[in-house]
Amino acid sequence: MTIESDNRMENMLLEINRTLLHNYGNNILLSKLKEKSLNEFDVELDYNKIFHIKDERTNTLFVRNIKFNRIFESKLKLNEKMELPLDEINSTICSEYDLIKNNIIHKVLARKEIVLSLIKNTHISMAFMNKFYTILNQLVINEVFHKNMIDEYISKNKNFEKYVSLVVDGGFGELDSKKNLRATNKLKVLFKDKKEVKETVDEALFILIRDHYDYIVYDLNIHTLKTYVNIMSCLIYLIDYMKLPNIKMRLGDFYRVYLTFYRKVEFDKFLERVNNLVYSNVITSEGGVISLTS
Amino acid sequence: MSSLTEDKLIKLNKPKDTIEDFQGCGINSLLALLEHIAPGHKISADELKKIFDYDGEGISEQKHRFNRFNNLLKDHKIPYKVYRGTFNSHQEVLKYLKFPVPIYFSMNVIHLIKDKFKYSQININFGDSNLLFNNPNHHLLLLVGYEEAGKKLYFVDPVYQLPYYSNKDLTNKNKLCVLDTKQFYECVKHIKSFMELRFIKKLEKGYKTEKKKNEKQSKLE
Repeated sequence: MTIESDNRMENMLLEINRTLLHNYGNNILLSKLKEKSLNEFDVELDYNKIFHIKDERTNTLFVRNIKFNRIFESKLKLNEKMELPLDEINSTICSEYDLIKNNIIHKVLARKEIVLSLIKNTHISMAFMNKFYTILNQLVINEVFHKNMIDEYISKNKNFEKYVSLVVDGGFGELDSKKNLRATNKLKVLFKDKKEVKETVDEALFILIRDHYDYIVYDLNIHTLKTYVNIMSCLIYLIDYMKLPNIKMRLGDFYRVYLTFYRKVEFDKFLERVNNLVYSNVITSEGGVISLTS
Repeated sequence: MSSLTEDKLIKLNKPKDTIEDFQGCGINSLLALLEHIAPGHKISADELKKIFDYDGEGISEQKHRFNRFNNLLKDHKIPYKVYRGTFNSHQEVLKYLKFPVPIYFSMNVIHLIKDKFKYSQININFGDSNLLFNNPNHHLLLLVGYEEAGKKLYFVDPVYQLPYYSNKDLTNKNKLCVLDTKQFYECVKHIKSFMELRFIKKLEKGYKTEKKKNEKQSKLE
């Protein structure tokens, strides 16, 4: 009985592995096969993607993997052909990638020097961010942004009201009974601490972006910010998650890392965006080899 | 199996184009096969990347990709087809050794062969190899020869050797990966699959007739 049982298990392993490889590619793997009752098996599948990244500085090819455990569980009878629900599995894989993306995006947003370089030097982003600068400069210098001025900006751009609300939500301004926007103690203390107007505004803006990133991107429609944060998140992934702090890589290699996380960007478009990051001095590029500017 | 009494080593030529990535083992294997059966062919790694959705994510139906590859061979008038084949014993795959034979291994085979991946031009760093190799991913190796009636098998790694070796290295037994049959079975036992290359005589005949016809036509013109 034991021998017979082992044979069944071996046959199942062979059959499932072949089915996975032949029909579902290289990254969906059998992680567990357990006989639950006679001729009925519990099957667990993992996702494991292996990728290479070459560090041009040390001339080293790093082989690393991204693994998601138990992306699918099912029961299978002996000799039953395994058919996987592609949509369901793809959706699980996407969710797992989304979790990583969320983490690495927040790691980018936690780095003040990167965030400030992005918004200051990326021209489209700056056009939108100027509204924040206008409000915060007024509050730091004059401690008040009068209602009539706010109304004037709103008459030119209705969206301006949302920027005011966000400054209030961020705790840097509060509306008085006459609807003038006044600097809060939080902003005043920050100014006292930083001493310079520019430094204070930068710090406040960094905090707003860090704490209200999704709102700024999706409601204020500053999608350009997201574009650049996404690229930076891939670099941070290699530096922090893959523990390659000084990596210097070819642009093509970096593009492939980007495609692992984010899709549907042509290489030329990607190149243009990376070039913008080079102009912003966030990324350094030498002869097609890029690295995080130290 | 009388032929197994003699040792055999295929002369594998390095393809013009290779991919230096783990996921590229399939594509590099096919490029190596192409180099062997149709030297001077015009098929690029980029074309194969497209067919096999190299940069893609998620999962998709894989079977049709070999059909697309075979159609590409047809377009280039190469009278061969490639299929996913299965085997029970190593002797079965050895009989295909007129060409290099891409065989699927569990990834832990790299544990056994990684000492051969030492080069002056590049270092290969596998990080925490236990974490990496204990995953049941599959990895292709190109079977290129055998000795001792098939007890000693020679392979070329399409990702960790092929891009870094010269044609001379590829025929130097000391530089090739070697597995004994015990190691071989340990690493293939739950997959026992390979890429089977078939010569299609009918196609070759058709291509030859077409070529002759074209030559005749151009002479008349």
